[in-house]
Amino acid sequence: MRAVWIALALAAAGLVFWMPLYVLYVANLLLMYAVLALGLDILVGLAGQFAFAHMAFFGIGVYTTGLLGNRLGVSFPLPMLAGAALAAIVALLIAIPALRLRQVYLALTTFAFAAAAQWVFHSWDAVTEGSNGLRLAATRVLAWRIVDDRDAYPLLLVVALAMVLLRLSLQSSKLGRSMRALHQSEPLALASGIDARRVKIVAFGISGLFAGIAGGMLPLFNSYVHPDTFGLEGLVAILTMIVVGGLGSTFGVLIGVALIGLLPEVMRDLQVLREVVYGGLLILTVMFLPQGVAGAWRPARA
Amino acid sequence: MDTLLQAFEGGVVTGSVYALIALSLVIVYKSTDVINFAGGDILMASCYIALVLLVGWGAPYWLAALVAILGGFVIGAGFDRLVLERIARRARGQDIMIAAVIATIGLSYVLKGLVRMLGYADEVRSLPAQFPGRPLFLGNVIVLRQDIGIVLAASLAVAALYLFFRFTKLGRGLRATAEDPRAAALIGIPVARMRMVIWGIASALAAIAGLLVAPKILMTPDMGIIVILALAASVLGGFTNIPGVIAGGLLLGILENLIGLFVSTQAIAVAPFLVIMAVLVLRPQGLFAGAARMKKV
Amino acid sequence: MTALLEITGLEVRFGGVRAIAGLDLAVEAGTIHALIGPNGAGKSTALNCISRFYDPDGGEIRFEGQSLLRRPPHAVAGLGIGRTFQNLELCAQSSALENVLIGMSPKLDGGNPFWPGRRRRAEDRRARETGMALLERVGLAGKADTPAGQLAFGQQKLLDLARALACEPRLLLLDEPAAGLRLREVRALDDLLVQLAASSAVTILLVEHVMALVMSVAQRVTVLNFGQKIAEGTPEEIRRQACVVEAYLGRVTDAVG
Repeated sequence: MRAVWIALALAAAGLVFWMPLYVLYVANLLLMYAVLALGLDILVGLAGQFAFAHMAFFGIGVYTTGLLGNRLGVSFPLPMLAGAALAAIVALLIAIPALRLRQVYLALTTFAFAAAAQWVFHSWDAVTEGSNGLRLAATRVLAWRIVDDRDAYPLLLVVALAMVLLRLSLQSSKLGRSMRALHQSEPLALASGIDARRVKIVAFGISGLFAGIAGGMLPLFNSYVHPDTFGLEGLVAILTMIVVGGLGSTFGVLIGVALIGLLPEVMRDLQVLREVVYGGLLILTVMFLPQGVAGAWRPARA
Repeated sequence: MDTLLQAFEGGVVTGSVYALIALSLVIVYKSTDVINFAGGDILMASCYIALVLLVGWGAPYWLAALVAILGGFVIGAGFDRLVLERIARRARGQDIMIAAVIATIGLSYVLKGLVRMLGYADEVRSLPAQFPGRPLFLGNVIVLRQDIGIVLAASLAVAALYLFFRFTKLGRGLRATAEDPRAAALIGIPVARMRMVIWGIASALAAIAGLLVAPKILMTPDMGIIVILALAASVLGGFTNIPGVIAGGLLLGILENLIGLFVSTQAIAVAPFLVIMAVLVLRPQGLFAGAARMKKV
Repeated sequence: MTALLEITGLEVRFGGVRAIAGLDLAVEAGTIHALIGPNGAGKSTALNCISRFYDPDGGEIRFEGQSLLRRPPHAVAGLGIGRTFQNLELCAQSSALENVLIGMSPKLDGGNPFWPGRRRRAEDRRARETGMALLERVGLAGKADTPAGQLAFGQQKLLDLARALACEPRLLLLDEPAAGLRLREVRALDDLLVQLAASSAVTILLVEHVMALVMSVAQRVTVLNFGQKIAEGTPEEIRRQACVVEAYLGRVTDAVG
C-alpha cells in the first residue's frame, strides 16, 4: 500500500515539471521548506529539544552558497555542501554551551542567537550587502547555468528526496531511537546507556546541516536575498508546519509543509488574515491535535 | 557629562517600562512555568484598544485607558481559561510547557493579525501623553513630565502589586498558587481560577506599561517586539526574583542608552540578544540572585 | 571474595537532611538481595546513587571491584548494571518492542545513521529477534507493537523489566517492581525473578515494600531506616527482629509473629 502512495507522489512530482513557471516556483519553495522543516523537526520533534536558532543556520547556508556559487562562480553542488558544513559546525559550537540550559531558557538563548545572527546579516555589509539585499547570479552546474524555475526544479527535487531519505534512515537507526528515548524520558535514556548530552549535540548538528542544505537550495531559484528572510516570521512559519503536521514524523512534517506552504497561495486575496490563520492554527493544533495531522491519521508508532 | 546624565535619565525611564513588562512575564512564569511570548502583543493590543476608543469613539482618555487595561486583563485571563487550561488537561509534564509556549506564540500572531485588520494600523499612530507640558530641567538634563509620570506610575503599580499580594486575601491566595500550585490545591485554593486571575493581572500590567510608553514610541502592530527587552530584563534579574527583575529592567534601559552613546545606535538593536545569551550561558541565575541552585536529573 | 556490589560509608545529604547516613551494603553475586524500610528510609536514594543519578557526599560504591563514582549516569548500563524505575519511566509513545530496543543500546553498534547498509540491517534484525525473545520471557510478545502508554499498568512494569534486561546486565536494580500490582501479578513476578536469577546468572538488588515478594524471593534482606542499616540477614531472621517491626509500625507492646 505504501509503495502505491510513493509511486503516486513521485509521478505527481514528475508531472509538475511541465506545469507553468509559477507552479514550479511554488514547488521549488515547498521543496526548500521541506528540507528546512525536516531539519527543525529533528531537533524539536525527534530529540525534543526546544531550540530555535534554525534560521541562523539557514542564513549561513544561504550566504555561503550565494557567495561561493553565485559570486565566485563555483559549480553546484560544492557551495551548497560548503554552506551546509559551515552551518553544521556553527550549530555544534553553539550547542555545547546552550545545552546546559533547561527547556525554555534553551529556547530563549537559541532564539537570541538567531536574532543576533540576523543582525549580523543586516550589518555586515561587506559580505552580505546588508539591508540592500544580495543579488545572486544564476547558479552554475558544471557547464550549464540554472536560469529559471524549470531548470532548478529537478535539482531541488533530487536534493529534497535525498534529504528525506537521510531523515527516514535516521529515524529507524539506533541514533534516531536514542533521540526519541531522550525526548520522552531523559532518565530512562541515561539508564539505558544513552549519552544524552552527546545525542542532543548531534541532533543540533544534524538539524544545522539540514538548514544549511535548505539554505543552499534558495539561490538556485532566487536572484535576490534579503536579511529579513531570516527572522522570527520565518521561524514561526516553519514551526507551524511541523507542529500542525506532526512533531517527530517525516510524513507529518511533509504534510505540514504542504498545508502551511500552500496557505499563502490559497489565501492570496486575504493576505491580511495570514497572521491570524498561522496563530490560530498553532493554538488550535496544540489544543486539539497535539500529535498534529499525522498523529490523528496514524496514531501508533513502532 | 551632560550627555551621560541624559542617557542615564532616558535609561531609567525606558527601564521602568521594561521592568513593568518583565514583572508581567515573571508573575506568569512563577505560577505556570510558562514564558508568555505574547506579553508584548497583549501590550500592543491594549494600546490599540485605547486608540480605537479615543480616535474612533471620541472617548475621554481616562475611559479609554480603563477599557484598555480591562481589555488586557480579559485577553490574558481568557487565554488561560480557554486555551491553557485545556492544554494542561490533555498533555503531561514537560509537554504542557512546550505546548503552552507554542500557544503563546500563536496568540502573539493572532493579536497582531487582528489589530492589523482593524484598519488603524495602516499609518503609524500614537497615544497622547498622560503628562504633557513643558519639560523640566535638572541642570542641563531635559526631563519630560511624561518621563517623571512613567517612573512614578510604574513605581506605583509595583507598590500596589506588592501590597495586594502581601495584605489581601486574594493576593495571598494568588501568591500561594504561584509558589506551589500543588500545595495550594491541597489546602483548598481554587488553583485554576487563581491562575486565570494571575494571567489577567499580568496582562493588565502589560497594558499599563503600554499606555505609559506608547506616547514616547511609534505605535505599530509590531511594537510587541518590546517583549524581547522585557525578556532580557527578566533574564538579568534571574527570572523568578522580583526585585532582581525590576533592577534588571532599569539596568537594561540604562545599558541601552550607554551603548547608543558609546558604540552606535545600530548596536542597540542587538544588545538585548547579547545580554540574554551572555547571562544565560555565563550566569543563568541572573545577576541579582544568590548562588546558583542547580537541580539534578 | 569481594561482593559484586560494595557500598561503603555512603553519605547523601539534601540541604540539611541526611538522606543516607553512613550506609554499608554488600551484594553477593548470584543472589537476590532485598532492601527494605519505611518510606523515606533512603532506599530509592541508594539506588539512584548506584545508577549515578545522584552524587553522594561521601563514601564509595564499587561494582566488580571498580569504583562507580567517577562514571557518568549513561555509563552504568554499559558496565553491566540495569535498573527499573518506581515511576515507570517508559517511552509511552514508542512501541513495547522499541522500548526494549532502547534498553539494548549498550549492546548495539548502530551503524551509519544515514544509510541503512547491510551490516546495520543485519544487526537490526538480530536486535529485534532478541527483543522479541525478551518480550516473550515477560509475557508481552503479543503487545510488541503496542505503544507503551496504552499497556495496562502491570504490563508496563513487565516492559520496564524487559527493557532493563535488554542490556544483559550482571546486576539488576529493581525499584519497587511489585508496587501497584495485583496479587496474581505479584506471584507471577516472583516466579519470573526466581527464574532470572537461576538461568541468567543475574544478581538482583530489589527495593520493595510488598513483603510477600520480599519474604518469598529474597535470599538476603537489608533493612534501612533514617538512611542507616538497622538490620541484615535472611528473611526469617529479619522478620523476627523487633527493631524492624518497630521501624515499620512504631513501638509495639506485643510481639508480632
